[in-house]
Amino acid sequence: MTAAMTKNLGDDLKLQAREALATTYPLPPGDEPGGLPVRKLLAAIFRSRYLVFTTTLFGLLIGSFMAITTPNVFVSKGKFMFTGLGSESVRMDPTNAAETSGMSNTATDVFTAGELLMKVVKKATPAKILAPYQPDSGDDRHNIKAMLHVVQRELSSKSGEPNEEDAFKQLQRNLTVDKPRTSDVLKVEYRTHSAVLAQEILQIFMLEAVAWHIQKYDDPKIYNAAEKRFQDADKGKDTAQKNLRQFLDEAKVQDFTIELAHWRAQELKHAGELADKQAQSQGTRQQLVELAKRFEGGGLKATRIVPRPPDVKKTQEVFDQAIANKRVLRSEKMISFGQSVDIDNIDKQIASLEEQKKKEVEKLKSAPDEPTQEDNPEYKEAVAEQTKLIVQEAREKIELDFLTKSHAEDVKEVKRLTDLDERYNRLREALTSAEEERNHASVSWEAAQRKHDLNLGNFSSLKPIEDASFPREKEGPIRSKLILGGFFVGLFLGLGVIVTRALPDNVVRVREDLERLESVTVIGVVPRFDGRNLRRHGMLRERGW
Amino acid sequence: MKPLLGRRDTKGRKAEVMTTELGYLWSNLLQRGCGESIRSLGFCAIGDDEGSNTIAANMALFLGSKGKRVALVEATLREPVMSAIFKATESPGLADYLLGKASLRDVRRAQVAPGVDLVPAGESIDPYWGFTGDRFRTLLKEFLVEADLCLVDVPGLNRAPEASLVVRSVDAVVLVVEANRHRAEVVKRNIAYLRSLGTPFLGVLMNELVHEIPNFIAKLM
Repeated sequence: MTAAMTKNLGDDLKLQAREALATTYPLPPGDEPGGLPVRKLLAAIFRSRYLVFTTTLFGLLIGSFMAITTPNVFVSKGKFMFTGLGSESVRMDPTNAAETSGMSNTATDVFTAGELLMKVVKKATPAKILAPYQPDSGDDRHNIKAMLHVVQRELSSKSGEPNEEDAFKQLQRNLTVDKPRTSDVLKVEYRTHSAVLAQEILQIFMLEAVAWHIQKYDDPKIYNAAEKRFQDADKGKDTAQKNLRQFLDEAKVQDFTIELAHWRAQELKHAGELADKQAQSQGTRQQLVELAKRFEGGGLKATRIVPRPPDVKKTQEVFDQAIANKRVLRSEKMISFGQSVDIDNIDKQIASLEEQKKKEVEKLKSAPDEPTQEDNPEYKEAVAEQTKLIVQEAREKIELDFLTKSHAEDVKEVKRLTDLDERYNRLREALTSAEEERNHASVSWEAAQRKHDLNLGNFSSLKPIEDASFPREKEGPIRSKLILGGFFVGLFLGLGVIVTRALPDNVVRVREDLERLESVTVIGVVPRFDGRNLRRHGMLRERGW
Repeated sequence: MKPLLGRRDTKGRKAEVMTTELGYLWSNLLQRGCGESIRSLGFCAIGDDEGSNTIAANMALFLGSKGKRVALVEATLREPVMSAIFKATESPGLADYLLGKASLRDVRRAQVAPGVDLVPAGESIDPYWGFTGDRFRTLLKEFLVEADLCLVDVPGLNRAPEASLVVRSVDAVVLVVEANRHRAEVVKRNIAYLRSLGTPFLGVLMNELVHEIPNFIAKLM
């Protein structure tokens, strides 16, 4: 009793202090304004436990119902190669990546178009698309699974004839078309409750998609447009080439650029040679002038007087010749058996000659030198030099004339080609542009032709690369997940409702709610009298509540 | 809600809890001068059926069992229950006394329980008008001659206009608030109203308190 009194007095003091220090008194954790204290939240949850229980049970029931009634799902898959080069790609120029970047979206839009789906509905028939779920339980028709199958069959059976509108909606729901941005492969999936139907309907879709794509987007006009563009570009290129060739013929050059460069180089070379030759000719003329000065000044004479010893050798040769003649004569006399007198005379004459020769030689050897006139070698050299220079001058003159003439021709040719250069450049640029246009048109035209070849005479960019598969195993539903999901959805729905209700709730529910009011003292509490509540109350009292 | 004290409870749990809580209540009342300067004490509620009559009855039984002489006056003329609780005759009662049709002796049921005298509500045609006179105050005074304490079951503040007249006749008043019933603003407004009447307001007693959080969780918090 004393303890309780003390506690209540303590509460009073605490309350007074709280009032006095309303702005500074720190509230207990979880009691801050605007928040949802844990205790309050827990109390709300346990207070509304039947609501949570109900929503959870409801969720569980819904989940169970879905688990029972949801038919099996089989997914058939197929793949197209879709380069997106049809008219849906805005232009037919595949080199323009920027214009084909949006193909992912375009592809899915193209192949989920209502027109195509309606064709599939008509081809596959609404009866197949809307075929009711008819699970087969096998021979054992008395187990739970068989009972569930009966329920599923009953629930899926629809009244009325299947119509195209419903089939269209069903097809739209069950068909998935996906084109990854980084790939040219277009993936298609069809899901339904039967593996056979899934494959059959997807196969029909794939066939119809190709035909429809050709019809809708790969218009022959575009093919023709690509062809015409290519032809025009080709013609333009030919014209540009012809103009350039005509120009070159007129200009009388094979390659204008090389020719111009050649003539410019040649003109420079000849100009250099001409200058050199002129300098050389100048030098020759100067040398001739100097030589002429030497001749005119008398510095050079044709002959000169030089003291020389008598010519012994010449004298010896004269005597030797005379002796030789006599001996020849003697030989002739001996051969003709002449008279010996004659031969002896000749021998005497020879001996006389040899005597004279000997005397004469000795006389000449002992005689003094005598002045002799002879040709001047310097004069000869100068004359020879002059002759050489005259010849050289003449040759240089000829060469100079030739070089001057050649250089003049070079200058003239360079001037002519330079005047034609602007026109040549214009024609060259025109040809380059024409060639580029032709190349682009050629790529487009080749792409169109390739598409044409891809589909046996048609020209669609859509080509099936993987037929509709036969699904061997079901993809869903996972019934335990449905049940568990229903359970948790119900649970969290209940908890959500509780939290939503608890947030603005300010009903006085516990002692603290009263104590929180200003100037209010709680002087007593009486619990509700039920066994569980009393036990909790007792526990709180024991713990010093 | 029926009085627990005096009833045989097989497990005795409920009576024990009630006795304990009434003990706490009486302790607080004693601290605030009850039994000395305050001898007539009113138990009022905001609406009907919040348990103020039961609290008053149980308090009377508790104090009577402890040797106090307690007079229990049922001022809730509109919905009388005390005669049924104490198995006493309903008429004549307070209504008859207020209209002068019965004397104090007639309306007093002496010793309906150990130490407890009861004045039942009686049958009333006009439950309001009788309290506008001085007879109710006189009745209390008369009782307090012999009794140690007079406990008055006050009508609901928002249900009976005579509630304020009854409150003004007693020395002090305790507000009984049923848990999970009123918003905080409502409680605050009624407390302010009680204080405006001039009668000392001793505090609030919370009735029907429910502990929602199970013990094993509460222990963790």
